[in-house]
Amino acid sequence: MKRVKFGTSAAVLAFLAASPALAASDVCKGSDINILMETVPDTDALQAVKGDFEKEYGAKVNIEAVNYSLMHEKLVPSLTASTSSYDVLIVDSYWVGEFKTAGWIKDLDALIARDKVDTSLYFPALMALNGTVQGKTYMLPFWQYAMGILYRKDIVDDPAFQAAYKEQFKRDWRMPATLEEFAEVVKWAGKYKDMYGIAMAAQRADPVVMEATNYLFAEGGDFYDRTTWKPTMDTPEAAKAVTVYADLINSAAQPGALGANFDDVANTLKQGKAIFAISYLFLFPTLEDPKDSTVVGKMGFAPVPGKDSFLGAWGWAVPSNAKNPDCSWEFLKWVESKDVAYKRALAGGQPTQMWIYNDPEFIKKWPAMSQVGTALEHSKGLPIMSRSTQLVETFAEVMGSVLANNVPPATALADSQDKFGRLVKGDPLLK
Amino acid sequence: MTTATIRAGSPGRRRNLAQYVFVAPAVIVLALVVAAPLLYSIYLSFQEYIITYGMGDFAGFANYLAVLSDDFAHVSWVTLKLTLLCVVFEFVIAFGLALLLNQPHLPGRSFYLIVLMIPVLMTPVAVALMFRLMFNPSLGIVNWVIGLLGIPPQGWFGDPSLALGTVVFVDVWHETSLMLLMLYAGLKAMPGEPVEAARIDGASRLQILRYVTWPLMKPVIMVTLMIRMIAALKSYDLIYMLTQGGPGKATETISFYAYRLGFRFLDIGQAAAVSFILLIVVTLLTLVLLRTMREN
Repeated sequence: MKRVKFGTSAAVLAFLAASPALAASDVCKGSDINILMETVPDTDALQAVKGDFEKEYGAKVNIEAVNYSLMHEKLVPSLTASTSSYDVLIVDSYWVGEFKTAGWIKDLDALIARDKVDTSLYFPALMALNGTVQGKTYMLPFWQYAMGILYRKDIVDDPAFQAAYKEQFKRDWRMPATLEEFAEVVKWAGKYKDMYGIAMAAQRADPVVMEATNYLFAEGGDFYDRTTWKPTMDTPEAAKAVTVYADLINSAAQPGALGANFDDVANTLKQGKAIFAISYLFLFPTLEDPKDSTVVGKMGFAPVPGKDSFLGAWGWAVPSNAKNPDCSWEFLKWVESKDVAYKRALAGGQPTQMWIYNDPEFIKKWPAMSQVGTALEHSKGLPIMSRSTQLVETFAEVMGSVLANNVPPATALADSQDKFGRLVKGDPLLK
Repeated sequence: MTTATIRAGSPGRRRNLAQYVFVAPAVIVLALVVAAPLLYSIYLSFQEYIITYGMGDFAGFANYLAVLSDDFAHVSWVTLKLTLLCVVFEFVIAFGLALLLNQPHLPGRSFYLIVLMIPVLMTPVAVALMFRLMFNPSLGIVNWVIGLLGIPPQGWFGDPSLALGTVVFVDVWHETSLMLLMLYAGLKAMPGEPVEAARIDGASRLQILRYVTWPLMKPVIMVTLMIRMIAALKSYDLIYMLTQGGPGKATETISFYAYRLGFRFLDIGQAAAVSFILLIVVTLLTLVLLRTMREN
């Protein structure tokens, strides 16, 4: 059945290439392009420019924007059906392995070669995370969610704050260089300013995992040894990372952090109630929005202290069961064309093409973006494996038992080794 | 041959056949939309089936053993606590309100009834979103109000010691109306003479409640409690919207556990096993309900 489908698509593509009468833009005429997206600034940025595609290609772009937690469960039934309800997919970095193994996304290499799409424009780290799997290209990186320290620049730059810091720590002010130092500073600064030292998002499952993975990577820990695929959750690095995270939740975070997601982190920061957060750079447009933020012009961004930070990204893909794959591909080409990518970036998106970060107008509008290059150099994503979505759930269980049930981190992590081991068993991507 | 022809063509036989023909569409639809998926899910519960990898081998009871040895005891305990707390609070409040509404000569009865029915008319998702905002630690009105009383802000859905209680509170707010409606209908349908006779005999209000109303209402109360208990055992929507089973696993119910195995872990075999266990529990309770209804 798959062969028949592939054969049909190949025949259509050959016909399109051979027929000068049928322009590329005609393949979408009268079509509906349905896309499921997350309610984040990048979706707003696409909403702002989608009219151009509709005008040029005669198609209607329908964006269904939902909360992140709903996306995976809406996509899976659609992808297992005979025809997908969504014509273009955006794939989170930790769904990549799963989607590839299940055969839900199309290999784009032939189309990229045919249409001379330049994938060298993208940050290599993002292509590796949300572009290629086992040497084949399945996605074009759409936006990155580099994480780092979001902090109150006005507070830490204040000479009085820096003098108090010097008195406390017997050194001149500096952004923390290690996770331990970060925790010390956060706790002290919160008390000194009578604010929450840090805004945190420890809601199950995605929020706590995205945040705590920064702590794990910062300490040099990881979920697996990425060559042997043996779980490494019982290491001292992992235990230390989770211990620091739990300590900050208990002693410096806003109340209800265990039930908070990144929206709550943004709200806490926007109300001027917290000094630090380890969170997403994509929160900047909302933090800088004078309509509902009290910290406009007061926020800074710095890389996560320690070894590495967590990097996430999304990629555009064409579902294997797309109604009109040629039109889906035309949309991908259009949305990632230099002009459209730049417009989206100016509208508050998080570009994945390197050249945009060298554009003076872009950096002038979003100064914090100048740090992205540094953040990407010291960051890594979750392992590309078939069950990385379940890895997130499993790590969330570990964090839950530490944070909610007060199980000692080392015990909870050691107990999880077996579960992490089962996730990679028989994985065709890791052979 | 002659006898058979006569029987087949007799009016009684034709009537019988017609009955089957008329019922057949409903039976076929039910078989397709209820029985077939149910049987298929029972079949799946004995298979090794992770969506990412496709259908695997026959697993025997491995899925059942895996879920029973994992978190099942914990989620069952949470479900039981949630069910009992919700049903008890909702019953006490609903019965009290139903008695008040049933008072003769109560002015504005229809108004009170309409107001009290508002929660049950709202979808659980809307209710959850409303309460999530009200209980938001930094933006919510609840923390603002308790702040006026000098109480520090609380993480209602984020504190393991408060989360289940807060979910129960939301559920009670939402579901009490339904119980009230059923109990109020029961009180309305109750014959008035026994209460009147007791009053003439000089019984106090408490005695009338204890010795007249309660025994007469017992069948309605039993059915109401059973219906609510079966619904509470399957609690999923509020949990999904309010806490996602967290913090940790503090509010994870059996239904949410099945959802998590199926839609997050994509382990359809194990999810089907959990669902089937829940189905057995709910079926047993339904049998009790049916028996109670028959007895009364």
